[in-house]
Amino acid sequence: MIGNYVHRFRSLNSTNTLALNYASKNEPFNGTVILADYQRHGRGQYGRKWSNTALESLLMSVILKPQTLLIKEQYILSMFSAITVAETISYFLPQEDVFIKWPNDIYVGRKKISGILIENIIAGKSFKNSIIGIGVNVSQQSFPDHLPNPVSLYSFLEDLTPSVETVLDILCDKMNYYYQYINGQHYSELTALYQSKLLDFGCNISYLNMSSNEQEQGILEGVLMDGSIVLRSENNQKKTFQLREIKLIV
Amino acid sequence: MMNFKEIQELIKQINRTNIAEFKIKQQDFEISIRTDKLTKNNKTTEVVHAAPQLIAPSMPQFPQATPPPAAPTPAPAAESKPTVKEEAPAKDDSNYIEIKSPMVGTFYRSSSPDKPAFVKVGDKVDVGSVVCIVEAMKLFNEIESEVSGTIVKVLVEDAQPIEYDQVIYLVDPKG
Repeated sequence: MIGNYVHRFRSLNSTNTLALNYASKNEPFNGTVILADYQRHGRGQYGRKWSNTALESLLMSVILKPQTLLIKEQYILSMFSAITVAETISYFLPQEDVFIKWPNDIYVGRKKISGILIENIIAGKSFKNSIIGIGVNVSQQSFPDHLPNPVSLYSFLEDLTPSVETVLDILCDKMNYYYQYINGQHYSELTALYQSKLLDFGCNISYLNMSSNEQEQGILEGVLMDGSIVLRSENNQKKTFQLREIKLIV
Repeated sequence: MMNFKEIQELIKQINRTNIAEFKIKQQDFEISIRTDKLTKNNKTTEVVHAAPQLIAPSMPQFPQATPPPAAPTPAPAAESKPTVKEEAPAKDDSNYIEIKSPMVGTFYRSSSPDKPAFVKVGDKVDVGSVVCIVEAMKLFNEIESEVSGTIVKVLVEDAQPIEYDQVIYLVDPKG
């Protein structure tokens, strides 16, 4: 069960780094959670910084052992994480529109409330561990200037803002529910759910085509199971892009 | 005609010397033995190189120390040298184990741009050592080695795209 074992730390460099080390030296239970009240060097994607103050954010990593998932199906982990975090935010903010910004940032309206960093350990042809690192802005009242468009649960709930532990409880519930989809290999259901929460789904969006370096427009038609994005251009042409090939202009 | 034991003894004796080629003819029996002693790296101690090539069409059941292509046809002495030279490096590589990419993505040699590489040429790896990261769609995959040995070659540049099953490292299992 996800969240049955929670290792809580006052301060860590990064919950993902600790989880990776922990998983490589021990045999952690599936669903073991590493929780930090504060992260000194929280990491975003491949070295990018994630800033926070003690107990203002949910800073956690969950160690999963997806036994039936194939390496080529790994984007399912991204969908699983984004769906569970988005539903957790919706639980606390039922009146707000909560979106997944492709590939896996969580937005309330057009502001970012959560980021996800997934690091897997692969041995041979299968996953040994999948470390899902999640940061959720919970009680921040102000943010550093360098963050472009941040928002926290406090921005909406003020005095009714839940504690970090309560947010973790709900997130673990959601994860336990949707983990059955992974175990049961219900990947197309997960994909459909992920797609339904996509920011700007069905809308005309601007993007930078990285190969031509030109700004183009297209209707966001969806995301495939491998994570690539599908856009329909003005002349009704369907185009599929990998993450590196495109930059969305939000 | 020599028997199996005699041929075996002959090979042993030749191997102990510096003889590069040896031929003997008795009536309709002929045997020619070639070693790598003439090639540049005549100091080599590897078993594969030290074993002489035996050309004895009359005794096909004799265990061959080298793969078939060169062995079955008796070659004139002059042609033998280049053959041996070409084979040596190929055999070298075949002793190495390949570490291949389990997926399509971007190859990274270190955990972040300011960190040292997980492994470089000359480093020892064990089963379970992390050798690189392959990133795909913002999922970062630490790839663990399934073999132990010494890294002898790095075949992919840092931050380059990588294909499924593409060879990333060559590992010398004896190193």
